[in-house]
Amino acid sequence: MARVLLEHIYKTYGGASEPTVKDFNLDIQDKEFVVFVGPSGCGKTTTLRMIAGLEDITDGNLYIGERRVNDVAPKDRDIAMVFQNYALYPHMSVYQNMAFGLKLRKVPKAEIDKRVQEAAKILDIAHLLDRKPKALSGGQRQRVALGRAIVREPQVFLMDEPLSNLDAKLRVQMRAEIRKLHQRLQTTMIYVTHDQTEAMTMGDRICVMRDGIIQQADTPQVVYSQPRNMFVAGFIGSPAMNFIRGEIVADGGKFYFRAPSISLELPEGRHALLKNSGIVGQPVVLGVRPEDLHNEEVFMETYPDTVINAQVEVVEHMGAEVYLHCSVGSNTIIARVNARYPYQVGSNVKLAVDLNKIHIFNAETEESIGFATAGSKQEVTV
Amino acid sequence: MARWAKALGLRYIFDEAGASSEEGVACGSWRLENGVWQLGVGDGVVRFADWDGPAEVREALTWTLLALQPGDSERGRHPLAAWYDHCRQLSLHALAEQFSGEAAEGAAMDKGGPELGAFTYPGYFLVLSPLLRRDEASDAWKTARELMLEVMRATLCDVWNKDVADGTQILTYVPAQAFDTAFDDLSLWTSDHPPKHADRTRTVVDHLATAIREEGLIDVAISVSMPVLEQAQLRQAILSLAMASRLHGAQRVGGQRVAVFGDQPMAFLLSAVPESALRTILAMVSARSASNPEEWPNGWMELTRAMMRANLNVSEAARAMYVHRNTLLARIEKVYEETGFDVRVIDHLMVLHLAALAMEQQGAYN
Ligand SMILES: Nc1ncnc2c1ncn2[C@@H]1O[C@H](COP(=O)(O)OP(=O)(O)OP(=O)(O)O)[C@@H](O)[C@H]1O
Ligand SMILES: [Mg+2]
Repeated sequence: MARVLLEHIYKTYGGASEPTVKDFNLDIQDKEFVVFVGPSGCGKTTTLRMIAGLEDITDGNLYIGERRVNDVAPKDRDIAMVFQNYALYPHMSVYQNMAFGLKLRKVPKAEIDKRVQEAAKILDIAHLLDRKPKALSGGQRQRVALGRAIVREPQVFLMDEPLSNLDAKLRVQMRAEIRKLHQRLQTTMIYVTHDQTEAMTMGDRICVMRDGIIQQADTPQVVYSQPRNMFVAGFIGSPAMNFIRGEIVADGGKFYFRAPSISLELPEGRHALLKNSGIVGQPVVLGVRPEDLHNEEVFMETYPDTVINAQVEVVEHMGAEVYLHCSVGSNTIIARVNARYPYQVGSNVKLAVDLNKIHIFNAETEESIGFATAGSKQEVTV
Repeated sequence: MARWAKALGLRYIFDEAGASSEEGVACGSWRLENGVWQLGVGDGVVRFADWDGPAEVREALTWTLLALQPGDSERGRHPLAAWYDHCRQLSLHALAEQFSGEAAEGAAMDKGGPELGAFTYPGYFLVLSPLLRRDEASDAWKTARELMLEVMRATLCDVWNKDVADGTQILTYVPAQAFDTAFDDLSLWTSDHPPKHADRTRTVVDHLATAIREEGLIDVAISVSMPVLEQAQLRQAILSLAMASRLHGAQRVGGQRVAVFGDQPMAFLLSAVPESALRTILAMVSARSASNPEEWPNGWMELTRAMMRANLNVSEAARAMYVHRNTLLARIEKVYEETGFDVRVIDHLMVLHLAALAMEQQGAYN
């Protein structure tokens, strides 16, 4: 059981002019499940490998438990790593596969047996112990690979995209399995993925990275509803958040977001924030998630001032829902609406914007001005 | 040496490398120059005056001399291990030259030690180098060595092995059959893409590297030789192995640690190009674009590589890069704007690929 603390961690690869990981600070609590997520090349694997000790830390401090481990060899860090290409031994039974690492470490036979049986039970593969890898399904193999890590009883599990070789259906199933596993083992886990859905569904906390820098580290709910900048806002959520460039205009004691063919009056509760943020009269980007655009009559009748007119360009059927790709002025936006209504390409639709859920970003810095945050605070106090 | 010379009644002169202006003779090979037989011994050349040097005697001399290099007398150097160590010392150019020369001569190794006869053909040589961190304890190598061999045994079979490179790498020989069996037993491929034969070996070697990393938390670089079809190819195979391992140096991207001889003929070709020519190639490429390759948008190399791998199929490249197709299209446009090359056009893509390899190669020079 251990806390993992990363303090001002930098990584510069030999020969590189710029660090790959920059000033990485994260305090991972004992038993926490943290997910590193970000686009390809943002430094997730590099960070994980530094925690494992496979990569030297250029600068900063790394603690596992109470111990500073910068200079501790990987095998002495009490961690286990699971990779995308899980390594099973073809000629050995499942039991032998799980016992192999312990045998190498000269763990007594009785102890090996105890741990393997336990792990097999946790993973629900006790009935497969005599099989060879060839006779296992993809999901079962993945479980054996996890079992090999579990029997080591590490303080921390590190997983680098362990599921990305599995087909979509199995992947969804294994996500849940790994979550369950975490609850049973009560061990710290650090999980790397490029897949935001995986991050959202698995992490106690997710750490969104870009170009080697943490953009935001928080619970999935907070990262989703209060993204700190446009990158996080656009990266998390599918389909992605709609961005519309425009400006904030003050007019007769009221504030509006204006863009070609759009004018939205912003709620009174946010006036103070708008004034204080110095954003009035400045170019901004409005962010609105596809599910916060509504076409239900009720919504439009209740909030007639929030309606924008759009033209349907593509109708994407997803089953219970429909993604409407629409044009509004020169912008293209996606609305996620109920499949009950008929939609026709080329027709006009009215979409009501849920103004309590919108985001406003400074167009230059791409930072959020905290519009959604302010909203949620206010809702709590009112 | 002296003993041999006496037994055979030979006169010899030892020239240290660099002592003469002539080109040296590769370690273990013979050259007849002006009627004088010369043997390369690594740190120099031994010349045998007034001797007609029958092939069998020369062969025997080679093994005797090179298998018992000073300092190795206790362990007794295995000829293949000695040959590998020698190849490691050569420049890439010298390696390539010997490789093509050897191919022409088909130089045999059939008078080697008794162990050589026990090899099963076809097979591959692998050399495994654990990448230990500089501050790791001195017993780290020993632990790593044990572990690597155990994992190889568990993944493939019992393998012939020798320590090389002053005991920092292991040279092994693996019958091709073992790769095939492991590949089938692991069913490593996804059903829609069963790899071709050449890729099977590679897949298993990747698997092996992962197993070692997972089991011992050790990064390992693995190089793989050309397939060895018969005993006569052993020396040449070791040369190919040395060439593959040398390409690791030029290949910095993506933490790729497996190099298979024959996998990267393009990179190899470029590694043979002089630096000034590389600079010119890059200058030619950037002449077309608005900026220097150093200033090109981030990720153009990844994009190029992904498009190559995906056979110019944008959707497939997007999938491989885990980005949405539209995102990739936007990136392609951006790269096109900045570089003047469109990765969807094969001619352009090849130029970018070449530029990427050239830059990697330049990085290896620096
Ligand atoms: N050994 C290395 N030497 C030099 N650069 C490296 C090395 N390993 C990785 N890099 C570079 O560091 C950056 C971050 O790589 P890293 O593998 O950490 O990314 P990642 O977030 O895990 O990406 P992915 O989602 O593709 O796995 C990349 O630009 C990569 O090219
Ligand atoms: Mg990665």
